[in-house]
Amino acid sequence: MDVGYEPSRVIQLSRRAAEAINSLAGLASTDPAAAEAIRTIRLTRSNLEDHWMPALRDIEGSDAMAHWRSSRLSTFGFGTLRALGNSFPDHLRPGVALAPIPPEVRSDLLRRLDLLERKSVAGTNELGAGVDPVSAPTKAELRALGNDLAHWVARDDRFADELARLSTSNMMIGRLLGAATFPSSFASSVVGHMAEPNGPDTEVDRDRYAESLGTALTSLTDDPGACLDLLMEDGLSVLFALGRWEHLDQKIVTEFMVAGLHEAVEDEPTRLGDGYQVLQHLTVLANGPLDRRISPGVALGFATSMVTYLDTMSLAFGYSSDSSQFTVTDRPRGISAPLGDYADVTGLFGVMLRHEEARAVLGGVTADWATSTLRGSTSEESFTSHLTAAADFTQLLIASGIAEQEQMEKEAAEVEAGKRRVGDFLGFVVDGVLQVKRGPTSVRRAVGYAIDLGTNWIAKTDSEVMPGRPWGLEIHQQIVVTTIAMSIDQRDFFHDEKDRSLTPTQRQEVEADLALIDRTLDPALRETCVNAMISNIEGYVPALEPALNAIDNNTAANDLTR
Amino acid sequence: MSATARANQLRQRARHLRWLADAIEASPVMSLDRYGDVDTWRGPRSDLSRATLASNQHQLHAAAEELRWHAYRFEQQARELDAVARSQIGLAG
Repeated sequence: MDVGYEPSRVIQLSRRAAEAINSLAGLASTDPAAAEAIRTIRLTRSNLEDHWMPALRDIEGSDAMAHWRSSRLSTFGFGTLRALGNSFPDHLRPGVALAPIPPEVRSDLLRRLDLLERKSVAGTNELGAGVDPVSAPTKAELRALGNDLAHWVARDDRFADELARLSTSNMMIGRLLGAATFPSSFASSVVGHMAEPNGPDTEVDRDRYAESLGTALTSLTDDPGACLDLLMEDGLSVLFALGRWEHLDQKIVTEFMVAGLHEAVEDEPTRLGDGYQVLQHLTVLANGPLDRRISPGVALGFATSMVTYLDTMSLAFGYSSDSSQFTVTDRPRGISAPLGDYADVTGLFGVMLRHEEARAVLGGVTADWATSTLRGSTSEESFTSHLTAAADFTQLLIASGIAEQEQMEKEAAEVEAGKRRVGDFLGFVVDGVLQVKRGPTSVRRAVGYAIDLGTNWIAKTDSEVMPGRPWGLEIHQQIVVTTIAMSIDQRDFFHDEKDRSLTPTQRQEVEADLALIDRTLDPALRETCVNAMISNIEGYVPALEPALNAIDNNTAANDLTR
Repeated sequence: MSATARANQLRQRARHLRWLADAIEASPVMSLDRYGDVDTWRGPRSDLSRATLASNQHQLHAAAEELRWHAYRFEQQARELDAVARSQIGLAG
């Protein structure tokens, strides 16, 4: 095996890699259209930090840096097995011989830990006072101590436990999890100790505490299985803390939730049952201490992860629609997960739907799932079965929205009783959809598309900040448009009493109008387009007339459109 | 928000997305492979690092192209909104 390096070039490469990392760190955007690009940037940066830099540091720190060599190092390349092992997740790590930490080494490490913590506090204070944080520890100091601690944490369980307990008072420990590679079990232990429902009730700096816990959570996302383990632990304390303490960086919370609920199960499908255990815990929390509010990070993580659960979950709703309890069952994987009764499940989805971004994602995920499931049907029987499951699930989503709307209305009424009409309106438009749903079975798809189109529209539109009005005019328009959009796919709707069907030209016109509406972002212009379409469509699709008239005549809708 | 204001907002977003695409392609990471060739380091670990970098560079190029495509679409929508605004003015007049 040809292995070697040129020291001066390695130094230059290391410098360029550090520049690349800094440059990528400076690229940011809050534009939704840039989300995928930002994810790619983050991935690239993460690869450089997690793979390139440790490899280059190992070479730079090696005593063999004096000259080019056709190496005596192993075929794994540069660095020791320890260094190589630390770049892998736990399950790939070569065996580490256990050894108790010598007392003098322990004292020295704790002294350095305390020193860096003090320097960090001083740096934070300087930053707060508007001066350069010259006292703050350098990256090299953090890395050096992190590597030394990681070395002994992997060898001495008692020392690891001591550090994990210390993490609630010394914020540096959580922070070091981002500066070196520690075993996931240690990072989990730190998170387990640090996670508190409303943050620490001690005298510690809550900002630094939240940042430290955030770093610990981030360090675990490379090991989704460990994230899932933490989320499903019996005491619910981690899950409760993530759902309650909004001081935490919510993006990190989302990434942690997605790693545990989605990625862990995708990596290891046999863990679906564990994922359901987390959903059971969430159901308990959403109908208990978190029934009025759950953190945006947990809601978005939950919504995103639904892609992993909809297949099995929707079947449970279908099969158990006449019973009081929903139980997800998957015999091949040995899963039997009771999620609670209808009110419990709508309570779970309802509290998630309070968050606009989670609504949008849940809508998209649901519609994608419904579409792909239906397309994948191999027989009429399976198509019908999938369709029923899709309709049952989307109906549950709508019921969750109504229930939550009622809850929010009660809360809003305490402040301003006049907002009640908003709840009436939402109930009405949902009825409008369900009215269409009572038509031919295949029209049930309208419900799924309503969620999709409605939430996409909301995601593209400036949000209206009004406590009692999470849905409104946009949904009204969307329901109308969706009703039409779905109906043009259904032959039954295009036959009037004289069995006249829509001509190809008429169909093209309707489709072109719908496409124009979808592209129109300006609310006023969109309303004009929708109204124009309504006046045209009634001539083409007589069966839609009652539903559209009812929507137009609704007084709550009129109130909102004034 | 008026159609004109919305069009301006879309153009602003398009400009930002184009800037981001350019910044990605001008980033030092896109030329890092020149400094990490086989004359600098050799071995399975370096091969893996180079392969990962090549994959990331490819993804970044694709992301930049995607951003430009979004920018193009935003500008197209802005033009449509301008046309609508002009026709509204014409109707009003």
